[in-house]
Amino acid sequence: MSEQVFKDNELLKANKSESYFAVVRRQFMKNKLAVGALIVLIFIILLCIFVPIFSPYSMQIFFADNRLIPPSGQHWLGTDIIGRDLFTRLFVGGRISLGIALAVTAITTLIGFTLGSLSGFYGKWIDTIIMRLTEVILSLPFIMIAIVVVALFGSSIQVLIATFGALMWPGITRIIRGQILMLREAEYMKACEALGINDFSRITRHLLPNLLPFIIVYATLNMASVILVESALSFLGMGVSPPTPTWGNLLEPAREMIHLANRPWLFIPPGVMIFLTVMCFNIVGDGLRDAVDPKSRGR
Amino acid sequence: MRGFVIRRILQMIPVFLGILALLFLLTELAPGRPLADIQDPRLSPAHRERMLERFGLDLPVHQRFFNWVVDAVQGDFGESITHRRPVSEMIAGALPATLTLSISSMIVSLLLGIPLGILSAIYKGRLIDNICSVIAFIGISMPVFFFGVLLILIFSVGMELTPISGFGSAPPFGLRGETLLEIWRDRAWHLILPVTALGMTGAAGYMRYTRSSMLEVITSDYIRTARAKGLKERRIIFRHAMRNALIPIITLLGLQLPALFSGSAITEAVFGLPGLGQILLQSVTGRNFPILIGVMTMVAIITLISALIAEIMYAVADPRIKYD
Repeated sequence: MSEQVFKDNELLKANKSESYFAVVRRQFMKNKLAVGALIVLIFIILLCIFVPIFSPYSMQIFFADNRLIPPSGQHWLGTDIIGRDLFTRLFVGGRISLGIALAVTAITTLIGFTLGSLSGFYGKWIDTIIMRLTEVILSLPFIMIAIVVVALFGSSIQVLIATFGALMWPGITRIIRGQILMLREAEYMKACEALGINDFSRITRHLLPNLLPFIIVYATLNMASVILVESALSFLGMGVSPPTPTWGNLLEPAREMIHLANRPWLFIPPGVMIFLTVMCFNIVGDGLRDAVDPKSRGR
Repeated sequence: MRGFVIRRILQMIPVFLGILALLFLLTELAPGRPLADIQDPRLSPAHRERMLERFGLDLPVHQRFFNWVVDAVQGDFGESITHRRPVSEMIAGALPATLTLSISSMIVSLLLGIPLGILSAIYKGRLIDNICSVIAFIGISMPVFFFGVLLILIFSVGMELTPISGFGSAPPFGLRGETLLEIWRDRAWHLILPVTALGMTGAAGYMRYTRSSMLEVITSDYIRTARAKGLKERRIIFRHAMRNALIPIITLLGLQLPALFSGSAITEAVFGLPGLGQILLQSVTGRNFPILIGVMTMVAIITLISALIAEIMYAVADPRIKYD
C-alpha cells in the first residue's frame, strides 16, 4: 500500500527520476572550465589514436637527407636528428604516454582499493602493517627511487608500469581507507552485518558502489601524475628508451645545448602536449571532485 | 612533550628499517651483479674473488644486510665501486647543491603560495580568485623540466642574462672569488633559474592548501564573533584567521619533502647542478649499488627527520594537539 502512495506522489517521483550519476553529470556540466578541459582532452586522445594511422610517414622509416628540417608544409612539426617526421612521432608518443598512464592507474586503483578496504574494514594489525608500508613508500622521493629501480631492472615499458604501480598506490589506498572508516559506521553497513552478509560482498557489493565516485576522481588525478613522472623519467633518459617515442623522451634533445639554442621545434611540441594533457586531467579531476563531493565545492 | 617526541622517534624506527629493507631487497632482486662491467680478460677468478671479498659481496644475504645496516647507521655506506671513494664522502660532496636548491625553492614556494592562497580565499569566487586558481592549475601541471628548459631558452639563450648551468663559475672565467661571500654570490647567480623553476611549480600546492584552509577558518564561529565585535577586516584576517589557517601548513612542509627532492633531482639534471640526483644518474650505468642505496638512505633519513621536526613544530604551534 505504501508503495502506492509513493507512486502517486509527484514530487517524490520527480526527485527519484534523477539518479545520483545524473546529479553528478549535471553538476559537472555547470563547471565550464572542466567541460572545456574534457573536450580538449578528448580531442588530444582522438589525435593520438588517428594521426599515426593516417600519417603518410612511418615512425620507423627515416631519411638521412631529411634531418632536422624546421616545421614546413610537408613536415608540420619538422623532423628530428635522424629525419623522422615529428608530427607523427608526437602522437605515437602520446599513445605510449597515455597508455602507460592508463595501465598504471588501473594497477594503482586495484591495489589501492584492495589494500584500502582491507585496512579500513578490518583495522587492527592489518591496518597497522598497510599504513606503515604506505609511510615507507611515501617517505622516499618518487623520481629518485624510480631511477634506482629502472637502473636495476632495465628500462622497458613493462618495468616502468610495474615500478609506477608499485610506488603510486599509497595515495589512493589512504583515501579509500578513510572513506571506508567513515562508511563502516553507516546504517546500511550495520544492516548488512545484522543480515549476516559476508565480508566479501559487504565490501564489493555495498561499499564499492559508494566509493566509485571517489575512485573515479582519484583515478583521473592519478592519470595526470603518472604522465608527469613518466615524462620526467623519460626526459632523464631513465624511462622508455628510444626508438619508442614518449612525450618525455621526445623532449630529450633539450638537454643538449645545440638543440636547445637553435631547434625549438624538437622539444617545444612534446612539452606543450605534456603540459596541456596534465592540466586537462587535473581540471577534469577537480571538476569531478566538486561534482561528486558537495563539501569540496568551491574549495 | 618529551614522551611524545620519544614515542614518535620509536615509531620512526620500523619505517626506517622498512626503507632499508626495501632498498636492500631491490638491489638483491636486480638482475646483473656488481663488478659485471669490469670485464678485463686478464682478471683471474681468484682476483675477482678477492675484489668481491673486498666489498664484502661474498657473504650470505642476511649477513650482508645486517652488516650494511650496522654500517649505514654509523654513516658508512661503503665504498663506491667505480670511484674507490667512500660513498659518504661523495654524498657529502653533493649535499650542498641539493640542499641549497631544495631549501631556497621551498622558501620561494611558500612566499608565493601562502599570500596568493590567502588572497584567493578572501576574494573567493571573484576575479582574483579565478586568476589564482588558473595559476595554480598551471603550476601543478607544468613539468618542472619543461619549465626549466623554457627558462633557459628565454633568460640564458635569448637574453643572455643568467648562466646556463652549473653550481658556480669555473675559476678562470667566472667571478668566483676567494671569499665565501663572493662564492655564494656567484652560486646565487647560478641558482636563480633552477630555484625559479622548482619554486614556482611547487607554489601551486601551498596555494591551494592555504586557500582551502583559510576558507574553512573564515567561516568558523570565532571569526564571525570577531566581525560582530566590529574588528577591522585586516585585523581579523591577519591576527585571527591566518594564525589558525597556517598551522597545518607546517605538516604539509614535512609531507612535501620527498616531492621536493624528486623535483630537485630533475632540476639538477636540467641545470647541470652537482647534487644527489646527478650522482644517482651517474651511478646508474655502472651498476654502482653502494651509491644508489647510499643516496636513497641518506634522502630517507633527511625526510624522516624533517617529518619528525614538522610534527613536533606542529604540536608546539597548536596547543590543541594533545601529546599523548
